Amino acid sequence: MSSGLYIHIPFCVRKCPYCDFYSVTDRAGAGNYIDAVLGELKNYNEKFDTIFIGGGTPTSIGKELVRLCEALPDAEEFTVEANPGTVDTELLKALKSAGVNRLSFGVQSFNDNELRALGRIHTAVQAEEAVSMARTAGFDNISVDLMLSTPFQTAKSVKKNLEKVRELGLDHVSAYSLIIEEGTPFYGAELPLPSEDEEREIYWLTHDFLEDMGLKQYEISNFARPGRECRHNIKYWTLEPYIGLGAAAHSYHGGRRCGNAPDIAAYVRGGGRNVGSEVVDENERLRERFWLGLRMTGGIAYNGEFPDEVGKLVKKGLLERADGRIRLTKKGIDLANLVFMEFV
Amino acid sequence: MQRNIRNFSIIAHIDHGKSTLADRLLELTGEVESRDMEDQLLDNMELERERGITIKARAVRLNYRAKDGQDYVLNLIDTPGHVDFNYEVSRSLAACEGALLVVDAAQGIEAQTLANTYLALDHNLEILPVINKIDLPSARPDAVAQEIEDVIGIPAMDAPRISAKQGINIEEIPEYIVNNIPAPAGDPEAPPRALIFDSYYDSYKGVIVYVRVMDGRFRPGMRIRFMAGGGEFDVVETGYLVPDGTRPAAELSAGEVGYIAASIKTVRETQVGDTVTDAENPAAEPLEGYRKVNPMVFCGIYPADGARYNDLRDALEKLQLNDASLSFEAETSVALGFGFRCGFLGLLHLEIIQERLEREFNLDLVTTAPSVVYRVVKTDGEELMISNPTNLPSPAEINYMEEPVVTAHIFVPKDYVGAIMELCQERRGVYKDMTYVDADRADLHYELPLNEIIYDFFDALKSRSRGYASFDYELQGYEKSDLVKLDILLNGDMVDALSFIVHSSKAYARGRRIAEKLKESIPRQLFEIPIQAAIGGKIIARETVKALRKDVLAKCYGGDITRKKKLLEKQKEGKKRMRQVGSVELPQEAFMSVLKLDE
Repeated sequence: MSSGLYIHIPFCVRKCPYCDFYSVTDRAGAGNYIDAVLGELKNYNEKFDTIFIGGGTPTSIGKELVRLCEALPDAEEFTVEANPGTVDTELLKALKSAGVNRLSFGVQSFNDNELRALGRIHTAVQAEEAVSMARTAGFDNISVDLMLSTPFQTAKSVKKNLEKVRELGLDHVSAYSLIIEEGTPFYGAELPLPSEDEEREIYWLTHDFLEDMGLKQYEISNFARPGRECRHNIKYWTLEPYIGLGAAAHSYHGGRRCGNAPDIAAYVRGGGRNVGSEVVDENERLRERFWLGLRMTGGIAYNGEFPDEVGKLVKKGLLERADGRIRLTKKGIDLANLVFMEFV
Repeated sequence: MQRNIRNFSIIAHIDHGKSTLADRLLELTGEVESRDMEDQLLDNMELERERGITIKARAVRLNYRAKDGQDYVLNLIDTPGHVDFNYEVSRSLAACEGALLVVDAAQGIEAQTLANTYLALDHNLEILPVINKIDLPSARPDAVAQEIEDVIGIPAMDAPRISAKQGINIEEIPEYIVNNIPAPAGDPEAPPRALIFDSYYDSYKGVIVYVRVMDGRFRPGMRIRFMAGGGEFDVVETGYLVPDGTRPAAELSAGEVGYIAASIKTVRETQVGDTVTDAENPAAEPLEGYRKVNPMVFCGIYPADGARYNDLRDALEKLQLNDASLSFEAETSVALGFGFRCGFLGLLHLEIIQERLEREFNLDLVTTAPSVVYRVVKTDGEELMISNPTNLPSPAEINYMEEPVVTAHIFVPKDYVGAIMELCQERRGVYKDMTYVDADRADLHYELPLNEIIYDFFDALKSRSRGYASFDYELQGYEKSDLVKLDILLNGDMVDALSFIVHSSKAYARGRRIAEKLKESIPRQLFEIPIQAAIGGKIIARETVKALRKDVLAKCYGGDITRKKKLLEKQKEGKKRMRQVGSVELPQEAFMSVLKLDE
């Protein structure tokens, strides 16, 4: 079986005030970092059918990113995350010829007010231009991230964002709700956020709109034209192996979960590798199959495991059974943690 | 030698430096090397250190060679420092001939100090004022000395002026004790009598009884009798209480302070205040002043996890080994399952026990609102003492009800008198009188219903006086009162553990406030939850917890499943601590929300 390969690029032009992923804005060490990543890759002899380069902002280290992609083997799905403010046609063309065949743009919104409130470095116009540059560069598999429930957002403004998605003819959307994380500047700040009820309205409006335009929901936060689902991300939910390279990247490999420390300096020196290694035994694997697999809207095959938990959740209207499978109901999607909690 | 013994205690308001002074005395008499000193040696329970208060009485024997060239034995009997433990204080004082009255040179006399000083005067103790903290920039030792003379009426101008913290003038203290506190009286040849001032349970020796011998002698091999408790035991060991524990001695004779071990299994056999005598040659009369201590405050304590009921019982039994004033009996709540109705001396005592159960026995608890004991006279003449609101008969069966009332003294700077009088008024206080302690401070005397002061009165007092007010009370008796039972309904079902008894004039406001508080503390659930407050079936307040709309974590950081799992585990852990009451999940705080209405 082939594995997925994830590479974390922990560099950004500027840190967004809501983001708690590991990244730094000093990009001077990018060259050494990429060398270290290519060094770590040599530890593995797998075949990779999917590659995903995420961040941070991979495109914030343009040339080094191209060097990395050129050094990597080809894969059936090869995604790079891109910030619309850090791309031009030249860079995108270089990535294309280095084997990248899928782009995931961190657009978040097509509304400048919302972008400003999120502290993003790009504008709505730049986002649109980035998509057309990508097409010019030869990409046909393009995804955008949209952020829901952001400051100042309303049902009306979300609809406008979605109309733009339709207009641009995109085949894949990841729609994440803003989560205020401890330790970020947004934490404790007084933000004009939609209420819990408005948030759900926005979520379901997004869902219905995307489904109507043919982008089917396949995971709690992901929508795609059939055949355009992100194969790499699906591996996370279906317990397929993946290897993470780079600082703060995680792996599920050889029946173990482990991760590299979020520390670029240590990583470049060859330290902080594969820490917190945990064996996923049979029991744990079964549990994971449930609480991770149920994120997929198609659900999971069900053969009577966890009868008490499943029975209770079905009774509460959070899970439904059909054709030997179980899956989240609409209410179950809203309250997915209550479902997952039963299986961890 | 009896005439070279000095038995004394230290009276001080909280934070006025009692424990620090005790530490310095230990150092000075060479009982503890300074390098071995752990600060505040006497407060050796972790909780005592944290809260800066003494919970258990204890004693320590110090050897001192005075300037007259003679060797003296100084027995320091440390007393608990809180109004909850007034009776224990009185017994510790009864074991002494004198007391150091430690007063903070900046703050002056406080209500607690005065209350204990009066207790000491009642026992004819020689009161030796000591002015502490003279190193503070705000110290005003002359004014404080004057205050002591004016308020207590004892000479204080020559009182030692010390700083226990800085070690200033500490050497004056032992001389002061030797020269001013009388040697103990008592006849070593008379039938033996010893006063119990505390006891604790040792897993090897059984109960170690702390005593002051008044007459006669106690030695191993003797058969002793507890005159009030009635138990008889053979003495295995006698000895002295020293800083690092116990030191066996061949006998304890009249005037001495020490311990008796007699393979006694529970502290209930050795009630504080009881008299120990020789079973073969008993004293004719016990020592004066024994009374059985009755709990004043009750609450239900339940294991958060019903499966740990037996662990909770074992833990309560273990704590009771050392705490005769803790009472408990099994009870059942529809909402909470099996648990215990526990009785305490006061709210501090309650908090301490609750904290010790959680810390030392690793138990998660659900505690119901504390209640005082109400006297109910039914229409058929039957009289009931009710400590659990659930057991209150229906209004039709009640002729009348009485509630406990205390007489309280509040010391407060004159600027806050208005605010504190207002507070007492709100708490249904009856004004008795007011005197001025000095030009700036008043002693407010009120009668207050106990159920108005057990919850948050002390906090309110502190906040309305910017921390300057101090407070002391004692139970006065029972008075007729117009009381009603307030019930709480969640999703239409009454939750027995949330019911409580309240004065009718306050029921509406309280009901509304509780409904609001519960709304804040109950997390949203799958369905909408109406919260209602009711008196005798009549709804007086209503709030609603809206249904949970969203609980989903969307993103996943580069395949970091472990982090996601930890978040879910944490959430699951929180849910586990919730209590399923009918169809509703209640967090533990909800049961206490009926208390914290001012926050």
